[in-house]
Amino acid sequence: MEILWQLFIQGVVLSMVYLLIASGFSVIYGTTGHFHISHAGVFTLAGYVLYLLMESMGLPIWISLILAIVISAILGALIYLTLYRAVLSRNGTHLVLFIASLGLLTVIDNGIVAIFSPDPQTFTTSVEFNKVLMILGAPVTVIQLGMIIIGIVALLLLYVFMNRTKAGRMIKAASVNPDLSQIVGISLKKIHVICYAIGSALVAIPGFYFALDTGANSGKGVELVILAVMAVIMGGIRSLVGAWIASLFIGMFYNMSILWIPPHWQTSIIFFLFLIMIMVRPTGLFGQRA
Amino acid sequence: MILQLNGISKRFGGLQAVSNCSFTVEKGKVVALIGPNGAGKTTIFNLITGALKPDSGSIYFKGKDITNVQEHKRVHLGMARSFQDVRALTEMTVLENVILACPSRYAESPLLSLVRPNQVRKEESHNIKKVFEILEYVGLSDKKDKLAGDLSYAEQKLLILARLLATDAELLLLDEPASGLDPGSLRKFVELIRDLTNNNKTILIVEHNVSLVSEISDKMVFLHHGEALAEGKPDEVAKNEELRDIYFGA
Amino acid sequence: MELLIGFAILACIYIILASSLNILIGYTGIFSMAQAAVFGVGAYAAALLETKLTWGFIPSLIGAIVIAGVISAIMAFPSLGVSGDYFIVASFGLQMLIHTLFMNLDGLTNGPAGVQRIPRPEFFGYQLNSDIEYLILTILLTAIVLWFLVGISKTGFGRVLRAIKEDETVVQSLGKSAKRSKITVTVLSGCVAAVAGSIYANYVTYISPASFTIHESIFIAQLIILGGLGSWRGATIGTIILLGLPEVLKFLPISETYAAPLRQVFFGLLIIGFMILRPQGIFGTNMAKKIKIKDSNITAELGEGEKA
Repeated sequence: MEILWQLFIQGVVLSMVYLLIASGFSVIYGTTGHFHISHAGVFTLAGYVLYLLMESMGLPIWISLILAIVISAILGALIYLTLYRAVLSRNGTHLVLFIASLGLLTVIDNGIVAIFSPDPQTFTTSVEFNKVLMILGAPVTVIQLGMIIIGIVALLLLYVFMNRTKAGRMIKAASVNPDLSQIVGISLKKIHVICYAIGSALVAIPGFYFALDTGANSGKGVELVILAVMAVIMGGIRSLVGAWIASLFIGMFYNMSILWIPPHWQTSIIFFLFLIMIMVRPTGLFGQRA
Repeated sequence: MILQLNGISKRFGGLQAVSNCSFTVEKGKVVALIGPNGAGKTTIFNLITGALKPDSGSIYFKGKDITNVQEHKRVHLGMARSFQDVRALTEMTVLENVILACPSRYAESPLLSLVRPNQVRKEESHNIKKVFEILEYVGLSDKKDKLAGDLSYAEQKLLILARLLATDAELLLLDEPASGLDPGSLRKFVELIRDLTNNNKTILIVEHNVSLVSEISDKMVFLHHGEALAEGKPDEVAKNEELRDIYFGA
Repeated sequence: MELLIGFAILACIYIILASSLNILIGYTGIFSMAQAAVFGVGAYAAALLETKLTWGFIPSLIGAIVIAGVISAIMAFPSLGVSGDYFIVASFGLQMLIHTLFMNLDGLTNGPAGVQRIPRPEFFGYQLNSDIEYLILTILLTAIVLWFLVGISKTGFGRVLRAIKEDETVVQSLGKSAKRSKITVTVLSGCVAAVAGSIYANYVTYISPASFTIHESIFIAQLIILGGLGSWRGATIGTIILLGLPEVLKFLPISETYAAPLRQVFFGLLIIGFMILRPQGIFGTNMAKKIKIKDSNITAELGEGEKA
């Protein structure tokens, strides 16, 4: 029973990672339609930004986290404002944008390796945050707990923002009908900037977690982002709650299934299930059929 | 009788697009499907060609039940359609657009084109000759090496007709073939249609221009809410007060 | 000289891979991000046939082609029903699924450790031990593959593929099974990638899952996109230029630890620059226009999903 509880807690941790990456991607993709694969690059950059703030500048962790979130949001918005707009303004299509985004990801991932070496950059200050707490007998590190709490707060804020504020409703309107929004005077550019900033702030949180947990490292983002994108598709595109349920499923499956399935097979099975799903129900579990 | 629809129904979610629709198309005739917007005309085309499967009912083509035959195989049986939005392959030449429509056994199979190169050459030259004749017939032969995207709208519509002829289909389903044509092209088009029926083709046409269809069709089928309300000679249907009210939204 | 021969062999391998994607992305518009996985299937199949069953080079090569073809056909199925962005994600998924299989099927693939001691090819008792001999064999195979692919692309089949890229519905309406053509071209592409895999396995004599990652798939796709989609000159000359350019960094006084990632940075910047200024790549002509048509499919696809 105890092992079950421990796996459950670890499942919650991993679910939160996917929840945040998937929500970030969903906010951007749902509104702009851009396949922003550099989401993975922002994920990586966030960890290194935190590293620079804490280790090189010696700032305390709370200030560093807040600053790093803001910087990540700005980075995301800048990617849109500079690169993507440059591509789109020259009559580039969404596929061209995707390829450019892949190129940017290559630059970010390898640029970091060239500057910091391929080795993970571990935080000297993180020792105290790796302290293990026990929750009803299940070990959880301070970092994990911190990510879960910050993550829940962030997702609640996102939900409230999207459903209760004027800006959020504008974003929803723009995602359903971009032309109409333009007519009623909502600037699409402004909405897209906001979406990139929000999405990048969300993906930064698991970025911090990975950096603090095992050291800032490059190249880990793509596979996480692809899995998160699968969660978005499984949940039904533009259904935030659907993406959340699918992320929870993936995170939980990874940990809970260890009881029945040898541990290194989880990834294979997740991909297999995804491919089966896309065959049977391409619009996602919670998306409506056309 | 070349085509027969027996009680065809199709539902999309909450919308009954086609309900218990029956009508027939006689060989060598021009039959027009008319009705107000949203009457289910294009859906019926999709059901006849097999792009959609009906929820109930059956479709007979040349005496054969084709309700469950795949879309591309129905073309082999002898029917072909055009699209409302033209859909020429704009990045390919006029010649390529039409030769693509020719039935092919060898040239389009990578395996056979490796082991039977002679057959392939024979087939291609036969098809090219045929395409030349068709292009001559519709009046596009001097444009054969142009990209389809560089043709004018009216020329693209002729190209689509050429493409349909290249399939060797006996039944041609034309979805608003005359929309957007200037009067000159329209005349030419009417002549082509007349000529086609003399050449053993049968035509099922969806068209909004009532005076045009009255002129070219032998029979009209009036659709409303996915149902065939009336079928008969053009002047009969056109004179029917009730139908006029529906059509013009009175 | 040795460096040059090594470069030439690798260039040939990448020319084959870029060509195998050219027929898929460039001609048919199937935007697959799983080519490294198929490449890997070919490499593993050849390596295992040679080491475990002690087959010769040619039988193993043929075996690898057949196996990769069959697996490509299986891979084609889940992704056939979807298009646009969904297809890209599905192919990423396939890439990662197959990569995990290389890692996990210990009994067959020997897991992360990979397959070692793959022999160099032997013909009638004569083993191609020197790299120059191996290069000649490689060039020969590359030439055959290119002759085959370019030939195929000029047949009626190639015409159907280009039509599918523009408008699948029209192809279907003209009595051609778009589905069958898509499966066929996926299988063809897989068979070709397997040739590259076999050459690679016999050249490096040791393969592991690390060579067939998602990053490798992205790299191969970027090669052909930069070279020019739909252009055979792009797949060949383009590949040589693109592989050669970053080699210049070798002559700068930078240690290999930095040179390798810097080459990638350079490559990424090249991609970005091209996508902004010349999305059709070096030798491509009008891809931007072609892709635009595809794009409307993507939007249509999204339109269906958005009602959630």
